Amino acid sequence: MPLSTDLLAALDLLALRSIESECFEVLGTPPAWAAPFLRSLPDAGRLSRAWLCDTFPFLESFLCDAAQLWSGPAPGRIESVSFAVPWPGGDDLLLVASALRLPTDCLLLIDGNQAHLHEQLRLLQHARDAHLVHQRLQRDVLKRDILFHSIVHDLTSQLSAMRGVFQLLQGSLPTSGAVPPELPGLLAAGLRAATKQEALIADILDVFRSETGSDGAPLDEATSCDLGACIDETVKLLSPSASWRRVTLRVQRADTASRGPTIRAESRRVERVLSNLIENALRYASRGSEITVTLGQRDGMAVVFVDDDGPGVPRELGAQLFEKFARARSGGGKTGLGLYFCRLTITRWGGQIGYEPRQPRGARFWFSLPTV
Amino acid sequence: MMQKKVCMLGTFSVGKTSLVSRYVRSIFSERYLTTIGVKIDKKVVATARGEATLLIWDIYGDDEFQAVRASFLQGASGYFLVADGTRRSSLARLPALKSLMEDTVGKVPCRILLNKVDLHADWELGTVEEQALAELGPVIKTSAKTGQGVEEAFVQLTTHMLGG
Repeated sequence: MPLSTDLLAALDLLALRSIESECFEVLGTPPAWAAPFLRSLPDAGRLSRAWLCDTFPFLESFLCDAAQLWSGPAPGRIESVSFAVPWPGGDDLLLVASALRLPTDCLLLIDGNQAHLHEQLRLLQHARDAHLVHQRLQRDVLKRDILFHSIVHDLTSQLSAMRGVFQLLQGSLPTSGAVPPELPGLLAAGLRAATKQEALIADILDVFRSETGSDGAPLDEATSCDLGACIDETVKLLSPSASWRRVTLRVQRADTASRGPTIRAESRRVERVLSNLIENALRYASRGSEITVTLGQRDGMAVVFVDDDGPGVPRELGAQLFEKFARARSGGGKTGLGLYFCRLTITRWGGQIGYEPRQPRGARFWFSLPTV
Repeated sequence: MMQKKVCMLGTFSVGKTSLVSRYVRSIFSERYLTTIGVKIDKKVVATARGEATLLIWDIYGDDEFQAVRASFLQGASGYFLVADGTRRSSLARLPALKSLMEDTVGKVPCRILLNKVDLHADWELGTVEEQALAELGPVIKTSAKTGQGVEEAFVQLTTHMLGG
Protein backbone atom coordinates (compact mmCIF):
# COMPACT_ATOMS: atom_id res chain seq x y z
CA MET A 1 0.00 0.00 0.00
CA PRO A 2 1.48 3.42 -0.93
CA LEU A 3 2.28 5.76 1.91
CA SER A 4 -0.14 8.56 2.50
CA THR A 5 0.80 11.75 0.63
CA ASP A 6 0.07 13.55 3.90
CA LEU A 7 2.82 11.73 5.80
CA LEU A 8 5.55 14.25 4.95
CA ALA A 9 3.26 17.15 5.86
CA ALA A 10 2.48 15.48 9.17
CA LEU A 11 6.23 15.30 9.84
CA ASP A 12 6.62 19.00 8.93
CA LEU A 13 8.91 18.02 6.07
CA LEU A 14 8.98 19.82 2.75
CA ALA A 15 10.35 17.11 0.43
CA LEU A 16 11.76 18.12 -2.93
CA ARG A 17 13.07 15.80 -5.61
CA SER A 18 15.79 17.06 -7.91
CA ILE A 19 14.30 16.36 -11.35
CA GLU A 20 16.71 18.14 -13.61
CA SER A 21 19.47 20.68 -13.35
CA GLU A 22 18.38 23.58 -11.16
CA CYS A 23 14.82 22.30 -10.82
CA PHE A 24 12.88 20.46 -8.08
CA GLU A 25 9.41 19.00 -7.70
CA VAL A 26 7.43 18.90 -4.47
CA LEU A 27 6.68 15.42 -3.16
CA GLY A 28 3.39 14.79 -1.41
CA THR A 29 1.43 17.46 0.39
CA PRO A 30 3.59 20.40 1.56
CA PRO A 31 3.52 21.06 5.33
CA ALA A 32 1.56 24.00 6.68
CA TRP A 33 4.66 26.09 7.45
CA ALA A 34 5.63 26.02 3.74
CA ALA A 35 2.29 27.26 2.44
CA PRO A 36 3.02 31.04 2.67
CA PHE A 37 6.28 30.56 0.78
CA LEU A 38 4.85 28.28 -1.94
CA ARG A 39 1.94 30.61 -2.53
CA SER A 40 4.16 32.88 -4.62
CA LEU A 41 5.08 30.07 -7.02
CA PRO A 42 3.53 30.07 -10.51
CA ASP A 43 3.52 26.26 -10.45
CA ALA A 44 3.14 24.99 -6.88
CA GLY A 45 4.45 21.57 -7.86
CA ARG A 46 7.79 22.71 -9.31
CA LEU A 47 10.37 25.15 -8.12
CA SER A 48 13.72 26.37 -9.32
CA ARG A 49 17.00 26.57 -7.47
CA ALA A 50 16.94 30.35 -7.97
CA TRP A 51 13.54 30.58 -6.23
CA LEU A 52 14.75 28.36 -3.39
CA CYS A 53 17.87 30.44 -2.80
CA ASP A 54 15.93 33.67 -2.98
CA THR A 55 13.35 32.42 -0.48
CA PHE A 56 15.84 30.62 1.78
CA PRO A 57 19.18 32.39 1.14
CA PHE A 58 21.01 30.00 3.47
CA LEU A 59 20.44 27.20 0.92
CA GLU A 60 22.80 28.92 -1.49
CA SER A 61 25.78 27.46 0.40
CA PHE A 62 24.06 24.20 1.41
CA LEU A 63 23.07 23.34 -2.17
CA CYS A 64 26.75 23.47 -3.18
CA ASP A 65 27.46 20.69 -0.66
CA ALA A 66 24.28 18.87 -1.74
CA ALA A 67 25.27 19.01 -5.42
CA GLN A 68 28.51 17.20 -4.55
CA LEU A 69 26.61 14.47 -2.74
CA TRP A 70 24.04 14.08 -5.54
CA SER A 71 26.68 13.84 -8.25
CA GLY A 72 28.59 11.19 -6.34
CA PRO A 73 28.19 7.44 -6.85
CA ALA A 74 27.22 6.44 -3.32
CA PRO A 75 24.00 6.89 -1.37
CA GLY A 76 24.35 9.21 1.60
CA ARG A 77 22.92 12.06 3.59
CA ILE A 78 24.15 15.46 4.77
CA GLU A 79 22.38 17.87 7.08
CA SER A 80 22.68 21.62 7.46
CA VAL A 81 22.73 23.56 10.70
CA SER A 82 19.45 25.24 11.43
CA PHE A 83 18.70 28.53 9.74
CA ALA A 84 16.15 31.20 10.44
CA VAL A 85 13.84 32.80 7.90
CA PRO A 86 11.35 35.60 8.55
CA TRP A 87 7.87 34.24 9.13
CA PRO A 88 4.98 36.48 8.04
CA GLY A 89 3.61 38.22 11.10
CA GLY A 90 5.56 36.29 13.72
CA ASP A 91 8.88 35.06 15.06
CA ASP A 92 11.53 33.71 12.76
CA LEU A 93 10.92 30.21 11.46
CA LEU A 94 13.72 27.73 12.22
CA LEU A 95 14.47 25.21 9.49
CA VAL A 96 17.02 22.47 8.85
CA ALA A 97 17.84 21.13 5.41
CA SER A 98 19.01 17.63 4.52
CA ALA A 99 20.23 16.32 1.21
CA LEU A 100 19.73 12.62 0.46
CA ARG A 101 21.28 10.57 -2.27
CA LEU A 102 19.15 7.45 -2.73
CA PRO A 103 19.80 4.75 -5.35
CA THR A 104 17.05 6.21 -7.53
CA ASP A 105 16.50 9.77 -6.32
CA CYS A 106 18.22 12.92 -5.14
CA LEU A 107 16.14 14.58 -2.44
CA LEU A 108 16.20 17.85 -0.57
CA LEU A 109 14.25 17.78 2.71
CA ILE A 110 13.48 20.94 4.66
CA ASP A 111 12.45 20.19 8.23
CA GLY A 112 10.20 22.76 9.87
CA ASN A 113 9.38 20.90 13.07
CA GLN A 114 9.38 23.92 15.37
CA ALA A 115 8.92 21.94 18.58
CA HIS A 116 12.04 19.90 17.89
CA LEU A 117 14.16 22.84 16.74
CA HIS A 118 13.06 25.10 19.58
CA GLU A 119 13.93 22.35 22.05
CA GLN A 120 17.46 22.31 20.62
CA LEU A 121 17.55 26.09 20.87
CA ARG A 122 16.35 25.95 24.47
CA LEU A 123 19.08 23.48 25.42
CA LEU A 124 21.76 25.55 23.73
CA GLN A 125 20.47 28.71 25.39
CA HIS A 126 20.55 26.93 28.74
CA ALA A 127 24.13 25.73 28.21
CA ARG A 128 25.34 29.16 27.16
CA ASP A 129 23.53 30.96 29.96
CA ALA A 130 25.22 28.56 32.38
CA HIS A 131 28.56 29.24 30.72
CA LEU A 132 28.06 33.00 31.11
CA VAL A 133 27.06 32.63 34.76
CA HIS A 134 30.16 30.49 35.32
CA GLN A 135 32.40 33.12 33.73
CA ARG A 136 30.76 35.88 35.78
CA LEU A 137 31.23 33.91 38.99
CA GLN A 138 34.86 33.26 38.14
CA ARG A 139 35.38 36.99 37.69
CA ASP A 140 33.62 37.75 40.99
CA VAL A 141 35.69 35.16 42.83
CA LEU A 142 38.87 36.62 41.36
CA LYS A 143 37.86 40.14 42.43
CA ARG A 144 37.19 38.90 45.97
CA ASP A 145 40.48 36.99 45.97
CA ILE A 146 42.34 40.13 44.99
CA LEU A 147 40.67 42.09 47.77
CA PHE A 148 41.37 39.36 50.32
CA HIS A 149 45.00 39.05 49.32
CA SER A 150 45.47 42.81 49.34
CA ILE A 151 44.30 42.80 52.96
CA VAL A 152 46.60 39.87 53.78
CA HIS A 153 49.46 41.69 52.11
CA ASP A 154 48.78 44.82 54.16
CA LEU A 155 49.04 42.76 57.35
CA THR A 156 52.71 42.07 56.58
CA SER A 157 53.92 45.56 57.40
CA GLN A 158 52.35 45.49 60.89
CA LEU A 159 53.80 42.04 61.51
CA SER A 160 57.25 43.15 60.39
CA ALA A 161 56.99 46.05 62.80
CA MET A 162 55.99 43.71 65.65
CA ARG A 163 58.84 41.35 64.85
CA GLY A 164 61.26 44.28 64.79
CA VAL A 165 60.04 45.40 68.22
CA PHE A 166 60.48 41.90 69.65
CA GLN A 167 64.00 41.73 68.21
CA LEU A 168 64.88 45.15 69.64
CA LEU A 169 63.53 44.20 73.05
CA GLN A 170 65.44 40.92 72.96
CA GLY A 171 68.64 42.75 72.08
CA SER A 172 68.20 45.41 74.76
CA LEU A 173 67.50 43.11 77.69
CA PRO A 174 70.09 43.67 80.41
CA THR A 175 72.23 40.61 80.98
CA SER A 176 71.77 40.98 84.69
CA GLY A 177 69.55 42.94 86.99
CA ALA A 178 65.88 43.25 87.55
CA VAL A 179 64.47 41.34 84.57
CA PRO A 180 61.48 39.17 85.29
CA PRO A 181 62.69 35.62 84.69
CA GLU A 182 59.87 34.77 82.29
CA LEU A 183 60.49 37.83 80.03
CA PRO A 184 63.19 36.37 77.70
CA GLY A 185 61.00 33.32 77.07
CA LEU A 186 57.95 35.47 76.36
CA LEU A 187 59.88 37.66 73.93
CA ALA A 188 61.24 34.58 72.13
CA ALA A 189 57.71 33.16 71.89
CA GLY A 190 56.38 36.45 70.49
CA LEU A 191 59.19 36.59 67.96
CA ARG A 192 58.56 33.00 66.86
CA ALA A 193 54.82 33.65 66.44
CA ALA A 194 55.42 36.78 64.37
CA THR A 195 57.97 34.97 62.20
CA LYS A 196 55.61 32.04 61.63
CA GLN A 197 52.79 34.41 60.78
CA GLU A 198 54.99 36.20 58.25
CA ALA A 199 55.91 32.87 56.66
CA LEU A 200 52.22 31.92 56.43
CA ILE A 201 51.39 35.22 54.76
CA ALA A 202 54.27 34.70 52.32
CA ASP A 203 52.84 31.24 51.49
CA ILE A 204 49.32 32.61 50.98
CA LEU A 205 50.57 35.34 48.66
CA ASP A 206 52.87 32.94 46.76
CA VAL A 207 50.00 30.54 46.16
CA PHE A 208 47.68 33.32 45.07
CA ARG A 209 50.25 34.64 42.61
CA SER A 210 50.84 31.14 41.23
CA GLU A 211 47.12 30.36 40.91
CA THR A 212 46.32 33.59 39.12
CA GLY A 213 49.50 33.58 37.02
CA SER A 214 50.40 37.00 38.41
CA ASP A 215 53.82 35.89 39.62
CA GLY A 216 55.71 37.75 36.96
CA ALA A 217 56.14 37.41 33.25
CA PRO A 218 56.04 33.93 31.73
CA LEU A 219 59.40 32.22 31.52
CA ASP A 220 61.24 33.01 28.35
CA GLU A 221 64.27 31.38 26.77
CA ALA A 222 66.59 33.60 28.77
CA THR A 223 65.27 32.66 32.23
CA SER A 224 67.43 29.96 33.73
CA CYS A 225 69.33 29.19 36.90
CA ASP A 226 71.87 26.82 38.39
CA LEU A 227 69.97 24.20 40.36
CA GLY A 228 73.07 23.17 42.34
CA ALA A 229 73.65 26.77 43.39
CA CYS A 230 69.99 27.06 44.49
CA ILE A 231 70.41 23.97 46.70
CA ASP A 232 73.64 25.31 48.25
CA GLU A 233 72.05 28.67 48.94
CA THR A 234 68.94 27.16 50.55
CA VAL A 235 70.89 24.71 52.67
CA LYS A 236 73.15 27.54 53.86
CA LEU A 237 70.10 29.58 54.82
CA LEU A 238 68.47 26.72 56.75
CA SER A 239 71.61 25.40 58.44
CA PRO A 240 71.18 27.48 61.64
CA SER A 241 67.65 26.17 62.01
CA ALA A 242 68.90 22.59 61.45
CA SER A 243 71.69 23.01 64.01
CA TRP A 244 69.21 24.26 66.56
CA ARG A 245 67.22 21.06 66.04
CA ARG A 246 70.42 18.95 66.15
CA VAL A 247 69.85 17.77 62.57
CA THR A 248 72.57 17.62 59.93
CA LEU A 249 71.83 18.92 56.44
CA ARG A 250 73.89 17.16 53.80
CA VAL A 251 74.04 17.82 50.08
CA GLN A 252 75.15 15.10 47.73
CA ARG A 253 75.49 15.14 43.99
CA ALA A 254 75.14 12.14 41.75
CA ASP A 255 77.96 13.41 39.54
CA THR A 256 81.28 15.11 40.27
CA ALA A 257 80.44 18.43 38.62
CA SER A 258 80.73 21.38 40.94
CA ARG A 259 78.04 23.43 39.19
CA GLY A 260 74.70 22.97 37.49
CA PRO A 261 72.66 21.58 36.04
CA THR A 262 71.09 24.64 34.48
CA ILE A 263 67.31 24.60 34.51
CA ARG A 264 64.72 26.90 32.95
CA ALA A 265 63.31 28.39 36.12
CA GLU A 266 63.60 31.37 38.42
CA SER A 267 66.17 30.86 41.17
CA ARG A 268 64.13 32.79 43.77
CA ARG A 269 61.16 30.46 43.33
CA VAL A 270 63.25 27.27 43.09
CA GLU A 271 64.75 28.24 46.44
CA ARG A 272 61.23 28.72 47.88
CA VAL A 273 60.35 25.19 46.73
CA LEU A 274 63.54 23.73 48.19
CA SER A 275 63.02 25.67 51.37
CA ASN A 276 59.48 24.29 51.73
CA LEU A 277 60.64 20.69 51.26
CA ILE A 278 63.66 20.98 53.61
CA GLU A 279 61.68 22.83 56.30
CA ASN A 280 59.06 20.04 56.15
CA ALA A 281 61.81 17.47 56.61
CA LEU A 282 63.27 19.45 59.52
CA ARG A 283 59.88 19.51 61.19
CA TYR A 284 59.68 15.71 61.30
CA ALA A 285 63.33 14.54 61.40
CA SER A 286 64.47 13.07 64.70
CA ARG A 287 67.15 14.80 66.77
CA GLY A 288 70.64 13.75 65.79
CA SER A 289 69.51 12.50 62.37
CA GLU A 290 70.50 13.61 58.90
CA ILE A 291 68.51 15.15 56.05
CA THR A 292 70.00 14.48 52.67
CA VAL A 293 69.41 16.66 49.62
CA THR A 294 70.49 14.72 46.55
CA LEU A 295 70.88 16.22 43.10
CA GLY A 296 70.83 13.87 40.15
CA GLN A 297 69.40 13.12 36.71
CA ARG A 298 66.41 10.99 35.76
CA ASP A 299 64.88 10.52 32.29
CA GLY A 300 66.82 13.50 30.97
CA MET A 301 65.55 15.80 33.73
CA ALA A 302 67.33 17.26 36.72
CA VAL A 303 65.93 15.68 39.85
CA VAL A 304 66.23 16.63 43.52
CA PHE A 305 65.47 14.26 46.42
CA VAL A 306 64.95 15.43 49.98
CA ASP A 307 65.19 12.46 52.36
CA ASP A 308 64.52 12.41 56.09
CA ASP A 309 64.06 9.75 58.74
CA GLY A 310 60.79 11.10 60.15
CA PRO A 311 57.51 9.17 60.44
CA GLY A 312 56.63 9.69 56.75
CA VAL A 313 53.28 10.73 55.34
CA PRO A 314 50.10 8.90 56.47
CA ARG A 315 49.07 6.68 53.57
CA GLU A 316 45.56 8.11 53.34
CA LEU A 317 46.96 11.60 52.85
CA GLY A 318 49.08 10.50 49.92
CA ALA A 319 46.70 11.27 47.06
CA GLN A 320 45.96 14.79 48.24
CA LEU A 321 49.36 15.60 49.63
CA PHE A 322 49.98 18.40 47.16
CA GLU A 323 46.53 19.98 47.54
CA LYS A 324 45.99 22.99 49.76
CA PHE A 325 45.01 22.33 53.36
CA ALA A 326 44.74 18.57 52.80
CA ARG A 327 43.89 16.59 55.92
CA ALA A 328 43.97 12.84 56.65
CA ARG A 329 40.56 11.51 57.69
CA SER A 330 42.08 9.94 60.79
CA GLY A 331 43.38 13.37 61.78
CA GLY A 332 46.88 11.93 61.66
CA GLY A 333 48.26 14.49 59.23
CA LYS A 334 47.54 17.75 57.46
CA THR A 335 49.20 20.09 55.04
CA GLY A 336 49.08 23.82 54.62
CA LEU A 337 49.94 25.74 51.50
CA GLY A 338 53.62 24.90 51.11
CA LEU A 339 53.38 21.66 49.13
CA TYR A 340 50.53 23.06 47.06
CA PHE A 341 52.71 26.02 46.14
CA CYS A 342 55.55 23.63 45.26
CA ARG A 343 53.30 21.65 42.91
CA LEU A 344 51.94 24.76 41.18
CA THR A 345 55.44 26.11 40.67
CA ILE A 346 57.12 22.92 39.48
CA THR A 347 54.35 21.78 37.13
CA ARG A 348 54.10 25.26 35.64
CA TRP A 349 57.71 24.91 34.54
CA GLY A 350 57.07 21.51 32.94
CA GLY A 351 58.37 19.48 35.87
CA GLN A 352 56.95 16.90 38.24
CA ILE A 353 56.83 16.60 42.00
CA GLY A 354 56.16 13.58 44.17
CA TYR A 355 56.50 11.70 47.41
CA GLU A 356 57.56 8.16 48.21
CA PRO A 357 57.96 6.49 51.60
CA ARG A 358 61.42 5.28 52.63
CA GLN A 359 62.18 1.95 54.23
CA PRO A 360 62.29 1.21 57.11
CA ARG A 361 61.05 4.72 57.90
CA GLY A 362 61.27 8.23 56.57
CA ALA A 363 60.00 10.35 53.75
CA ARG A 364 61.38 11.16 50.34
CA PHE A 365 60.09 14.22 48.51
CA TRP A 366 61.38 14.81 45.03
CA PHE A 367 60.91 17.10 42.06
CA SER A 368 62.26 17.09 38.55
CA LEU A 369 62.69 19.93 36.06
CA PRO A 370 63.80 20.05 32.43
CA THR A 371 67.40 21.07 31.97
CA VAL A 372 68.50 23.69 29.46
CA MET B 1 22.60 46.66 -7.50
CA MET B 2 25.68 44.84 -6.37
CA GLN B 3 25.15 42.21 -3.65
CA LYS B 4 27.86 41.53 -1.09
CA LYS B 5 27.89 38.72 1.43
CA VAL B 6 29.17 39.74 4.84
CA CYS B 7 29.75 37.28 7.72
CA MET B 8 29.47 38.07 11.42
CA LEU B 9 31.94 35.89 13.33
CA GLY B 10 32.85 35.55 16.98
CA THR B 11 32.18 33.45 20.03
CA PHE B 12 28.76 33.34 21.70
CA SER B 13 27.17 36.31 23.46
CA VAL B 14 29.49 38.95 22.03
CA GLY B 15 26.54 40.73 20.42
CA LYS B 16 26.64 39.68 16.74
CA THR B 17 22.87 39.36 16.46
CA SER B 18 22.34 42.58 18.43
CA LEU B 19 24.68 44.47 16.11
CA VAL B 20 22.75 43.24 13.07
CA SER B 21 19.40 44.07 14.74
CA ARG B 22 20.65 47.54 15.59
CA TYR B 23 21.90 48.13 12.06
CA VAL B 24 19.08 46.52 10.06
CA ARG B 25 16.06 47.16 12.28
CA SER B 26 17.30 49.87 14.69
CA ILE B 27 16.27 47.78 17.69
CA PHE B 28 18.12 46.46 20.71
CA SER B 29 17.12 44.01 23.43
CA GLU B 30 18.98 43.58 26.74
CA ARG B 31 18.01 39.91 26.82
CA TYR B 32 20.60 37.48 25.53
CA LEU B 33 19.04 35.08 23.02
CA THR B 34 21.47 32.62 21.55
CA THR B 35 21.62 32.02 17.82
CA ILE B 36 21.32 28.34 17.01
CA GLY B 37 22.12 28.46 13.32
CA VAL B 38 22.39 31.10 10.66
CA LYS B 39 20.17 34.07 10.00
CA ILE B 40 20.51 36.18 6.92
CA ASP B 41 19.42 39.80 6.70
CA LYS B 42 19.52 42.22 3.80
CA LYS B 43 20.30 45.91 3.94
CA VAL B 44 21.11 48.48 1.28
CA VAL B 45 24.15 50.54 2.21
CA ALA B 46 25.05 53.85 0.63
CA THR B 47 28.72 54.75 0.63
CA ALA B 48 30.88 57.35 -1.07
CA ARG B 49 31.74 54.65 -3.59
CA GLY B 50 28.15 53.75 -4.41
CA GLU B 51 25.41 51.52 -3.07
CA ALA B 52 25.43 47.82 -2.34
CA THR B 53 22.97 45.32 -0.93
CA LEU B 54 24.54 43.55 1.99
CA LEU B 55 23.56 39.96 2.69
CA ILE B 56 24.52 39.84 6.35
CA TRP B 57 25.12 36.29 7.57
CA ASP B 58 24.68 36.25 11.31
CA ILE B 59 26.40 32.99 12.18
CA TYR B 60 25.99 31.23 15.53
CA GLY B 61 28.65 31.76 18.16
CA ASP B 62 31.70 29.62 17.65
CA ASP B 63 32.39 27.60 20.79
CA GLU B 64 32.60 24.06 22.13
CA PHE B 65 28.92 23.46 21.33
CA GLN B 66 28.98 24.59 17.69
CA ALA B 67 31.99 25.16 15.44
CA VAL B 68 31.67 27.43 12.42
CA ARG B 69 31.78 25.51 9.14
CA ALA B 70 33.88 26.72 6.26
CA SER B 71 30.98 26.25 3.83
CA PHE B 72 29.10 29.16 5.47
CA LEU B 73 31.90 31.50 4.58
CA GLN B 74 32.07 30.69 0.88
CA GLY B 75 31.29 33.65 -1.33
CA ALA B 76 31.85 36.22 1.41
CA SER B 77 33.18 39.57 0.28
CA GLY B 78 33.94 40.78 3.80
CA TYR B 79 33.50 39.93 7.45
CA PHE B 80 33.38 41.22 10.98
CA LEU B 81 35.19 39.57 13.87
CA VAL B 82 33.23 40.52 16.96
CA ALA B 83 34.66 40.61 20.51
CA ASP B 84 33.04 41.53 23.81
CA GLY B 85 35.11 44.07 25.75
CA THR B 86 33.66 42.84 29.03
CA ARG B 87 34.87 39.26 28.47
CA ARG B 88 38.56 38.76 27.83
CA SER B 89 37.83 35.15 26.89
CA SER B 90 35.85 36.31 23.84
CA LEU B 91 39.12 37.20 22.09
CA ALA B 92 40.54 33.70 22.19
CA ARG B 93 38.84 32.25 19.10
CA LEU B 94 39.25 35.28 16.83
CA PRO B 95 42.66 34.41 15.32
CA ALA B 96 41.39 30.91 14.43
CA LEU B 97 38.23 32.37 12.85
CA LYS B 98 40.31 34.80 10.82
CA SER B 99 42.47 31.91 9.59
CA LEU B 100 39.37 29.87 8.69
CA MET B 101 38.03 32.83 6.74
CA GLU B 102 41.30 33.41 4.88
CA ASP B 103 41.68 29.71 4.11
CA THR B 104 38.14 29.64 2.68
CA VAL B 105 37.83 32.89 0.72
CA GLY B 106 41.31 34.43 0.85
CA LYS B 107 42.09 37.90 2.18
CA VAL B 108 38.90 39.94 2.01
CA PRO B 109 38.04 43.18 3.86
CA CYS B 110 37.62 42.74 7.59
CA ARG B 111 36.82 44.90 10.61
CA ILE B 112 37.20 43.96 14.26
CA LEU B 113 34.21 45.08 16.31
CA LEU B 114 34.98 45.58 19.98
CA ASN B 115 31.43 45.55 21.23
CA LYS B 116 29.63 46.57 24.46
CA VAL B 117 31.70 49.74 24.74
CA ASP B 118 28.84 51.25 26.77
CA LEU B 119 29.65 48.89 29.68
CA HIS B 120 32.59 50.88 31.05
CA ALA B 121 32.36 49.49 34.58
CA ASP B 122 32.72 45.88 33.40
CA TRP B 123 35.41 46.52 30.78
CA GLU B 124 38.04 43.79 31.00
CA LEU B 125 40.43 44.59 28.20
CA GLY B 126 43.67 46.44 28.75
CA THR B 127 46.07 48.00 26.28
CA VAL B 128 47.79 44.68 25.62
CA GLU B 129 44.57 42.96 24.56
CA GLU B 130 43.44 45.90 22.45
CA GLN B 131 46.83 45.92 20.71
CA ALA B 132 46.51 42.19 20.04
CA LEU B 133 43.09 42.82 18.47
CA ALA B 134 44.51 45.57 16.28
CA GLU B 135 46.92 43.03 14.80
CA LEU B 136 43.91 41.16 13.36
CA GLY B 137 42.54 44.21 11.53
CA PRO B 138 41.18 47.73 11.98
CA VAL B 139 39.27 47.92 15.26
CA ILE B 140 36.00 49.80 15.71
CA LYS B 141 34.50 50.16 19.18
CA THR B 142 30.77 49.55 19.02
CA SER B 143 27.71 49.40 21.18
CA ALA B 144 24.66 47.63 19.85
CA LYS B 145 22.80 49.20 22.75
CA THR B 146 23.56 52.85 22.00
CA GLY B 147 24.36 52.40 18.33
CA GLN B 148 27.86 53.80 18.76
CA GLY B 149 30.13 52.81 15.87
CA VAL B 150 27.59 50.43 14.29
CA GLU B 151 26.65 52.41 11.17
CA GLU B 152 30.28 53.46 10.79
CA ALA B 153 31.42 49.82 10.89
CA PHE B 154 29.07 48.65 8.13
CA VAL B 155 29.76 51.68 5.95
CA GLN B 156 33.53 51.30 6.39
CA LEU B 157 33.46 47.62 5.50
CA THR B 158 31.18 48.17 2.50
CA THR B 159 33.36 51.02 1.23
CA HIS B 160 36.37 48.74 1.55
CA MET B 161 34.53 45.92 -0.30
CA LEU B 162 33.62 48.34 -3.08
CA GLY B 163 37.28 49.08 -3.54
CA GLY B 164 37.65 52.12 -1.28
